[in-house]
Amino acid sequence: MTSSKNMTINFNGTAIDIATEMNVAKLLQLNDVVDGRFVVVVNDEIVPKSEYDSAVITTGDEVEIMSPITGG
Amino acid sequence: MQQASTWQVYDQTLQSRLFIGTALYSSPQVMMDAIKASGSQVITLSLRRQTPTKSNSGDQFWQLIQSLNCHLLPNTAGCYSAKEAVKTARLARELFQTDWVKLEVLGDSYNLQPDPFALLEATKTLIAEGFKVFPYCTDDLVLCQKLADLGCEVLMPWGAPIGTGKGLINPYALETLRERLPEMTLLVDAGIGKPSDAVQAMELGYDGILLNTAVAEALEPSLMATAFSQAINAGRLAYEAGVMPERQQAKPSTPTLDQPIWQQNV
Repeated sequence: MTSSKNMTINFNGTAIDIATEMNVAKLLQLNDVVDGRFVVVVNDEIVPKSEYDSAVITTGDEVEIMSPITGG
Repeated sequence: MQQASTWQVYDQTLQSRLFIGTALYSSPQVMMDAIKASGSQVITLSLRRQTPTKSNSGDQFWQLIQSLNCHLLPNTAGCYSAKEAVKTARLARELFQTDWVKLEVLGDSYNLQPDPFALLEATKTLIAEGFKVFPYCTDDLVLCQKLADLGCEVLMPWGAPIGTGKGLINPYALETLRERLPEMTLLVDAGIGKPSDAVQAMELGYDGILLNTAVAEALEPSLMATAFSQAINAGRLAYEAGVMPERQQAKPSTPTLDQPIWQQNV
């Protein structure tokens, strides 16, 4: 794992800096994401829950958390 | 109250013929009360980029939805291309663990009219991937025939543009669809404003109604949900009973034989 002080990712549409590469589980924890029904998408690819520990987020990545909302 | 016959929607047998949306209610409790009052077994919902945290009620909406024990019909609302709609449908399948998708591909932002060409393209892709597609479409016969040819077992033509409450603006087209696609499961989706609009569609032989705004924006959503539930059931019963043919000339319902003499010179 490499570290950098200038790693920027896009997290749900907002650019944020992260201190180092990290796995999805750690990213969710740092952003106070609570357990529940959602899907994590990294660079347009769905990340299954079973891969939260192994999928690494690095600079330039686009991370989206898709959640249920109301709809007609 | 007598209930209309059950019906088949893909692999599910349903009693209620009302699909109801989860949007636009003034509070989660109002939504829950209205959905329960509707007796609906299928609810529509959607998905968006949203971070569930303790400070924004996290998973509350999902917890409420789960407690309803209804079939879920996720939509692809807001998509303006086949590519976007397909991507959204795939995410919806992962998120909601269902192959059902209400496929919306819009072509115009003023009247939210479906784009028929993109709709066909997305439908073809999704059916190949095993989705059970519920296309939100216009009432165009040829489009509907092509959607059926692609493998849709359910079609959902609009009654009027979404959220307008204008009712059935083209009953002729809807009636033609029913006549030309007799084996297809048909629901009117969008534009329903009043329970009488729903009755009209059901009397035409439509199998069900999908609505949201008409209930959510009523002064008493729960009461309106009950009204729609009963109206849709009444409309279906009327269709099953067989509506009398309309005629031009009046025909007395009281027998005219053996009338007293003072009535016979009329």
